[in-house]
Amino acid sequence: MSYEMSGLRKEDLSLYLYIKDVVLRNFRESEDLVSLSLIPELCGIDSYVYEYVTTLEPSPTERGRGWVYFDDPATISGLSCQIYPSVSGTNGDGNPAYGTPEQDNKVTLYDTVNGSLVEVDWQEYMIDYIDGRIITENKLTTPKVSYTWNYVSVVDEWAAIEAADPPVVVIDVHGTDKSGYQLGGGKKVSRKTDIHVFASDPAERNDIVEALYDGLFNRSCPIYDFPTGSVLDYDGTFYGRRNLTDRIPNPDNKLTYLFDRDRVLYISKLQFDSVTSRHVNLPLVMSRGRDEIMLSDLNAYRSKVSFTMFSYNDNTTDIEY
Amino acid sequence: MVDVNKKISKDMDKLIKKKLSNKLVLIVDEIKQAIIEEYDDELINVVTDRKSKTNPNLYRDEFIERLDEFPYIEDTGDSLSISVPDMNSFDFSGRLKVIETIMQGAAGVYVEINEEDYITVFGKKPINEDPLDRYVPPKEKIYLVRYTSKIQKAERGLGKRLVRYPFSNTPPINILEVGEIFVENNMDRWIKDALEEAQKEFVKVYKGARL
Repeated sequence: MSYEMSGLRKEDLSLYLYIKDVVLRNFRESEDLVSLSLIPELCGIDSYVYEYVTTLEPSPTERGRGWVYFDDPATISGLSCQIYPSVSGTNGDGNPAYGTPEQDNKVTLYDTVNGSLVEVDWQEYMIDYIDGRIITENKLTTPKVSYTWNYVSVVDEWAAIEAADPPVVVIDVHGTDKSGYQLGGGKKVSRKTDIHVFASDPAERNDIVEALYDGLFNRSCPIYDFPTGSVLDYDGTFYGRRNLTDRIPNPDNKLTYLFDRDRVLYISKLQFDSVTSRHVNLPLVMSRGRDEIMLSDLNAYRSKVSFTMFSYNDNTTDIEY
Repeated sequence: MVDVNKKISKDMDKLIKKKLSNKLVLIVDEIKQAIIEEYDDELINVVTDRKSKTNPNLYRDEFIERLDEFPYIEDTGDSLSISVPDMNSFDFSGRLKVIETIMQGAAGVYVEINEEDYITVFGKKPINEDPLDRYVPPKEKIYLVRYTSKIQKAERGLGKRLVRYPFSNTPPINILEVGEIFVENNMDRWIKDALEEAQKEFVKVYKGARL
C-alpha cells in the first residue's frame, strides 16, 4: 500500500528543513582530520563501514544534529528563503528534477598512502550523515575525515529532547484551523506553532532565539512536495546515493541525485505571522558549580518562539489538503 | 431634528453597550468554567501519586481565585473590551509557580525533594532557588531536582524513594487556550445577539414616539 504525505506532514517537514538548513545555518562547526575506526560487524564483501571517533561535546551525531549535507549557499540576497543553489538533473528515483545536489566540500575522506594523506575519490564511498559513518568499497589505511556538523539539535518531538545535549530546538506544530478566503473554492490553512529552545547558557539562548525570530519575522518558506522523500534516506545516506554506482550519474547532479525541490501545486508558500518570543524560567534546581552535580541544565536556559504559519490552497479538487 | 438624531444614536449606542456588557458578564463565567474543566481534565486527572506535592489538586482553589481576579472586561466609557488570560497575562506568582511550571513543560525526569533531605544529600540549602511553597516548614518545602545518578544513590542513603515529579518529560499543556478559542469562535454571534436584543428594546422604547 502506498499513500501520499498529508498536507500537515509536508508543511511540518518543510518547516523543519527551513529551520535546520536555512535559519540555523550559521550554527555550524567543523572538525578536521578526525580518525575513523572500522566496524567489523557491519562490513560485508566489498563494503567497509567506518565510524568517526570524536570527543566533542555536544556530540555531532546526537539526535537532531548530524553532518552537513549541502554545500554553503551562494551569496544570500534580500529575503530569500531558499538559499541553496538548485540545478536540473535527476532525483533519487532517477526522474527529471530540479533540486540541490549532495555536498562536495563539507565532508572529505582521506586515506593514508605511502605515509601521506590522499583524498579518496567520491565515487568510492558513501556518507551516513546521521551517524557519522563512511561506507567504502575498498579497505582504507588509517583513514581520516574532515566534516562540518550542525551545532544545534533540531527535533520535532518533546520526547527527543533528552536524547541530545543542549542546544536543542523543538518544533511543535500544535493547532490547525482551516477557513475560506475567497469567493469560490480554496482555503486558508493556519497552524499554530511553537519552537522551544533549550540552550546551555544565556548567551547561546539569546543567539538562537534571535536567529529564529529573524528567520521567521516577515518571512516565508516553500512547501515541498517531497516526491522522493526528504533529503536523507532511512540509513542516513543522501537520498538515491546508494544506487549511484549502478547508474551513470547525471553530470548536473554533481556527485549524486538531487534533493527534489518540487513544490506542492496550487498552494502558496508557508508564511509566518504573529511571531513572538518569550524566555521561560522555571523553579527547578539547577547546577551552579562543579561541586554540585545536581542537575542537568536542560531546562535552565529556555525560551519559546511562537508564531502562526499559514498558506493559501487553491486546489479545489484535492480533498486531503 | 439634528439633536433628535444625535439623541437616538446615543441611546442606541448605550443600549448596545449595555446589552453587550450584560452578555459578557455571563460569558466570563463560561470562560472560567471552560478553563477549570480543562484544569481538571489535563492536570488533575493525570496525577496518580497522592504523595506528590506538585499535584495540581492542591492548587485548584488558588487557581480559581486567580481566575476570578483576572480583569476580563475593560470599560473605558467609549469602548468595551474583553480579555482572556494567557501564559503572559495570567498571574502565576506565589504558589501557582508550580502550575506555570507544569504548563510550560519539562524536559527530563525530576523528583520532588524536601529541604531537609536536600541538605542531607548536598550538605547545604539550595542556592538562589525558592521552594515551590515557601510558607511551610522545611519538611514540606519542596524543590524539583533532576533525577540523576547522584540522586538515585542518595535515595538509598535516605532510605526512601523520592516522589517522581508527575509532569516529568511532559510537553507544555496550555489549559488557558480554551478561553481564547471559546471567545474567538463565539464573538461574532455574541455581538449579533447583543445587537438584536438592543434593536428590540430600542423599538419598544421608541414605539409611538413622533420623531
